[in-house]
Parts: sequence; structure tokens; C-alpha cells
Amino acid sequence: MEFVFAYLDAASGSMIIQAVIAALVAGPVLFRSKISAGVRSVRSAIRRDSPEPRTSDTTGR
Amino acid sequence: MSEDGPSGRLLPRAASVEVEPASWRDPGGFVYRRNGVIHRQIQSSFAAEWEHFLGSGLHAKLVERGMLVGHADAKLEDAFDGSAHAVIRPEPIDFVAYPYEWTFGELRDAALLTLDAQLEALSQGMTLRDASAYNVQFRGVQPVLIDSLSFERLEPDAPWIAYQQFCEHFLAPLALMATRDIRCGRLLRSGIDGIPLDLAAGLMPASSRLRLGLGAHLHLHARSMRQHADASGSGRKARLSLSRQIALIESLRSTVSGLTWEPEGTEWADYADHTSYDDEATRSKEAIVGAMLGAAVGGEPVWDLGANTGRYSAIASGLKRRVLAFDIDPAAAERHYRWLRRDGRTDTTPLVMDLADPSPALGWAHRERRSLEERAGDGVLMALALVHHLAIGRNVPLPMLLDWLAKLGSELIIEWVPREDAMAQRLLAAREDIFQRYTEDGFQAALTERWVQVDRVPISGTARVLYHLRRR
Repeated sequence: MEFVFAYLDAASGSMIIQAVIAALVAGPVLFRSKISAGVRSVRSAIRRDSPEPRTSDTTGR
Repeated sequence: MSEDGPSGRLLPRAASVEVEPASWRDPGGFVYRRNGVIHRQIQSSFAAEWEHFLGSGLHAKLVERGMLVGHADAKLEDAFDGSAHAVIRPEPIDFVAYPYEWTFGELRDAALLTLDAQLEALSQGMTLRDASAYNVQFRGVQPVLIDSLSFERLEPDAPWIAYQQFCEHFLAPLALMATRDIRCGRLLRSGIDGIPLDLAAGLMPASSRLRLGLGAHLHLHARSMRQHADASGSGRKARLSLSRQIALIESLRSTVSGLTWEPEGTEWADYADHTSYDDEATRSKEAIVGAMLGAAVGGEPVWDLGANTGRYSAIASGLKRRVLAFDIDPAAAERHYRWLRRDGRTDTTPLVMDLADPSPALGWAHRERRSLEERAGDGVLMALALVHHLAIGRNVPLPMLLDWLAKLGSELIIEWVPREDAMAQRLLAAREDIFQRYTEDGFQAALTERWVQVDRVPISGTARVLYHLRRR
């Protein structure tokens, strides 16, 4: 049995793979953020178009 | 007389200054206690990073948002040794709990906090240089980063140096807990560097390869680490643009958020709905516990041992006590955590703990992570409906049980559950009855060595009795 584990540098694989994984996930992340931004803009447009809410009645009646 | 300081220098031995045993890995600084007060020394070698962190506004923003523990500046004369650039006094944390003691939700919220801090750091041109789960602690149910020295300036196009650590400390255990078995969280106790990714990938269901986040951050990641393990140093040449790194962190965030687990169906998560108490007994027990807690003079926090979903922890927090609520069942503790989060409570921290096999000391020289006993103070203990589980269910002799409890707190509110009780009978039904000494007389005889009886009150409508004890 060779005791080679102590000399292995597993961290290299973690650093190298980040670019690959980032490229892999960038599309879905970008797509999701675009969708979120779209939903936000539609919501704000709806809020702009809706009439102002009435001022709350502070008399307690 | 002298001793080696973290910087390797020989230092005058001062009885009032003690280096935190877990704080020696970081060359940028370390934690020590001066007259019992936590201090952190920032080394001269880390001065530029530290000043940039403060000057960038990132520190103030993280502290303001409750993401990072705050600190007060201390005098340089209070430094541990001459290699200090600055000395700070971080806000103290009540109780240092470890990731293998957290519920699923706590581990997930700690992971999300770490990722949010990294996203915030990236927006300010900085980065988290480590993503250890041990850098997070809980104030009530709010996770907070405690290592102010984890931030450094981002080198252009550098990959995230803490990516592997994040995946091993957070993603791998969460994925195993969510997709395989909630008890996989205990694997964190077997090594303080988290769960190795190749081990996690091997244990995960095959279907997890088809999920984009888990497939990439766990399986592909583990494979790459195996493939490049003998390519020593080649990782230093890797490049990752800022926008790609943000996508990587956003993807991790989405993957972690997508890991869910429903805490139902276990014996103890449903215990509150299936106890042997009727309404009258429950009211009686609550009143007695409240009165005993009100009369207790022990320190904080209150340790509720066997807290289940926190019914009696709530009585303690109602009396303005901070509470650590321990339970063996991850489902019960998780339900407790969710209720506290939903109600916005900040005074109670649920933790998962098998009291018959409590957290041991771990790490280098058994000193990096302290055992449960080493973290105990002089608080008030509650051990309600617990004694029969340990004495009958786990064969712990009563004198040993009461002796150990005396090491955890200065006052004890403990419920005696007699042999004829339905729940004790349930435990006895499954085993040979070798518990002839399990009697209230035996209990009273066992407690006298370590405890003084302050009060003894029977619970109405039951044969159970509540004792209030004070340590000798």
C-alpha cells in the first residue's frame, strides 16, 4: 500500500472546476434573474396603473 | 516562565490571558481572553486587508444587517503580543454551538448567510477567504458570522478559494440530510473539515446527478477534485471572472434553498400531541415549572434538556430568560426552530443533542471544538420528562446521571417519572427489567451527594413529581 494521500492536492480540482460549473450554471442563473426582473417590472406597472389606496380612516369607526 | 504564542514567540506567562484553543489556524489574527473578556488580535501581516475591510464600508454594512458580529476597539496595550496591528473586543456569544448540533434549518440558514455575505463582499471588491460552518453562530435563531478576519480583497479573476470548504461544510451535509437521511448531519461530528465531497457524492441517490445544482457542485466537483488531485499547484492558475463567480454563488444559493426536509412522523416531533398528560396535569406542570424558574437564582442561559418542540422553553423565555433547547430528535428541534423563526423570537436556540452521547471534544489535541460539558456554565437546567429515558431507556444509573447534570449547571428543575407511569412502562415493555433501583427513594438518595433539594412538588393528576435542586 502506498501512502500517497498526504501529497495529493485535491483543492486544485476545486479551483479548476469553478470556471466549468460557473459556465454551466450561468445560463439558468441569468434566465432566472431575467424572469424575476420581468415579474418585478410587471408588478410595478400594475401598481402604477391601479388607483391610489384610500387614506386609512384614523377615527376608528 | 514562558509559553509559545500563536505567532511562535516566547511570551511572558500571564495568568489572566488565555488563547482560545480553536484559534490558531489563521495567520491574520487570533482570539484570546483577557480577564475573561474575548479579544481578537489582528496581526500586522493582515493590517492592509483589515483596514480595507473597515474602510470599504463592507464591515459596517454586514454588522448593521446583523450578518456579522460587531466589535468595540480595544487598546493596543491589551494586545497578546508585539505582533499586533489592532485589537478588538467582539460582541460575546452566549453559547458556542457547532454545526453537528444544529437543526437542518439552522445549517441551511447558516449556509445562506455565508453565501449572502460572499455576494455582498463581491459587490465591494472583497471575498470570503474561508467558508467554515464554524464561523457561524446563533443569537437565538439568527445566524451571524463571527470571524471578522474572513474577508480579504478580491484578486481580479480569482476563483472562490472557499468554494470547496463551503461545499464540504454546508452543501454536502444538507444534501445528504435532505435526500438521504436527516441523521447524516451527524457525519459532521466525525471530522471538523466537513464531509469529503467524494464520500458525499458516493452516498447521494443516483437521481441527484440529474439535478443541476447537486450534479455540478457535488458530483462534478468531487470528480474534478479526484482527477486533479495529483496536479499539484495547477489550481492557482485557474481564472474566474467576477460575473461568473456571482453566477456560481447565485447557483449555490439556489441549490441550498432548494434543499428541503419536512420534520414530521418521528416519535418525538409528535410527542407534544401524544403525551400522557391531560389538560389539568399540563396546567399544573406549567405552573410548577414557572414558579420554580421564577425562584431559580442560577445564571443564563437556561438549558432545557429534552426540550422537544419547546413548550417549557417558552415558559423560561416568557420569564425573560435566554434558552438553549436541546433535543435528541432532529425533527422536534427543527419544528421548534421553525416556530421560533415564524414568531420572530430571538431568545431561544434549539439544538440537536443525544444526552446519552453528548458532543465530545474534537480537533487538534482535542481542543479545537469543546465538549458539551466544557461549554457549560452556571445556568439553570430543566430536565423534564427526561430521567426515565436516560435511566431506563439508556441504562444510565441515577447517581451518574445526577452527577453529570451537576457539571452542566448550578440549578436543576427535574421531573421524577415513577416506574408505574405509562411512559416508563412503555420503555420497560421492550426490555428486561433490571432497574430495581429506579425508585423515588433511590433518586433522592442519588441526588444528595451533588444537590440540595430546594422544593418538591407533585404534578396534579399524575404520579410524577417536580424537584427544584441547587448544586452543593
